[in-house]
Amino acid sequence: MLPVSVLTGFLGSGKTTLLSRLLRHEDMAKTAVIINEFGAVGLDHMLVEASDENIVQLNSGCLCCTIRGDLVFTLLDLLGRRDRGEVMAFERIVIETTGLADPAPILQALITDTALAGDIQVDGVVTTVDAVTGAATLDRHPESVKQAAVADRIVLTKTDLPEAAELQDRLSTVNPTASLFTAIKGDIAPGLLFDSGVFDPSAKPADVQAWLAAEEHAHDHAHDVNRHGDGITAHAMVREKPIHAVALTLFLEILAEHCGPDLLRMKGLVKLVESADRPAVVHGVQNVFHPPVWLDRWPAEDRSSKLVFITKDLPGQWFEDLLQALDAEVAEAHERQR
Amino acid sequence: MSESLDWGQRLEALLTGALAIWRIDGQVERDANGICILETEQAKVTIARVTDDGDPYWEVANPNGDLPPLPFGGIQGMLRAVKEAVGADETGTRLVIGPQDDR
Repeated sequence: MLPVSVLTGFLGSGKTTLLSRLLRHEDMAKTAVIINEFGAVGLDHMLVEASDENIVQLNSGCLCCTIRGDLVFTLLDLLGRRDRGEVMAFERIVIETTGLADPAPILQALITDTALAGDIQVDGVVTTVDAVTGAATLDRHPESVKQAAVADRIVLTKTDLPEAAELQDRLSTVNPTASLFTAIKGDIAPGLLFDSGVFDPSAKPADVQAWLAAEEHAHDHAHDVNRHGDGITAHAMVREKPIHAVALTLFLEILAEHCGPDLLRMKGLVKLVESADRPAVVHGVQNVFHPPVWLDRWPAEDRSSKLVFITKDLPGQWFEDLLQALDAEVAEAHERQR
Repeated sequence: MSESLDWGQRLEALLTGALAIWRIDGQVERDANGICILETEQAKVTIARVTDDGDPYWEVANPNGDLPPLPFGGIQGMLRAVKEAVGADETGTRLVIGPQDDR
């Protein structure tokens, strides 16, 4: 399936510079780009140096607000043109959002649209953060915090200044599951940002380890007073005991019902009672979850379930309490049926 | 929460956390029988896990109201009833997994 990545980042954070530089790389030669610009006259597409035929401009408004129509239509149109040989046979799509976009509904549309299902595979979110102005932007614009919180890859642009270390620490607190890179003038290897297999890691089980390594970092910060006032907290849960599939389903349903948009992202590697040797990877954006992917084997000797939640100020302990109670309830029901 | 907790302890933890999730000020107390009393400015609700005959179930009651105690087979229904009773804002939505025709 065709990997689709979302490139986001606040206004002026270096998205277009990064994209322009990436597209010059030979590994990105077969890439189609959808550029979403806010306003009637687009500019960014002129700044991206790539073949015009593979750049599509969306000027009708911010993608996250018009997602069901324009984005899906554009993707289908692009795929159709490729199949008819009207454009280059691209092997990847990058969607560059506006600087104010909320990436969550874009991801949700990519995951849930039936017309796109079977043709595309969500490859993750890359978020650019300006190292010079990033801290002030995070302070003033909640959109930028959410862009970082939902990211799978964060690229710190424009600097190698020492101050960047503090910003990196803050970003790791907002989103401990994201890999963090720096890129000066957009110079970064595409392989670090794309083909991450985040949503379908069956081909890259080792990568699951990478984002679950965040679990330790999340533990470090789970009880940290949020000194920046971002309102975003990460919570990690580790559970040795396998979880009943029914309990996991009820758990996800209750999270959707009670947490709503305050649950920004959730990632997990889950040991199910019914499939103890093949862990399930679960991946959610607010109430929308990618279908679980079962790995052929555990990626490491550690066979405990690990779940990471990135939330807008929700008490992480509740997730543990809820899952344990649900699993106990299901276990008791199974016991009574024997 | 320890795996060895009894249902009264589990319930108390669940309800206390739920108030925070719903952004509602209130308190939860547990009596000697494991029955939890959740009190907010707007409502007082009692929640019990009933295990007398047959399968256990949850009972949600509003002792100051007119409604009779309502039974729920699982935690999901119990939490939904308590949320409604305390007048929490409806911020949640339904779970969606993968491609959906009806969205």
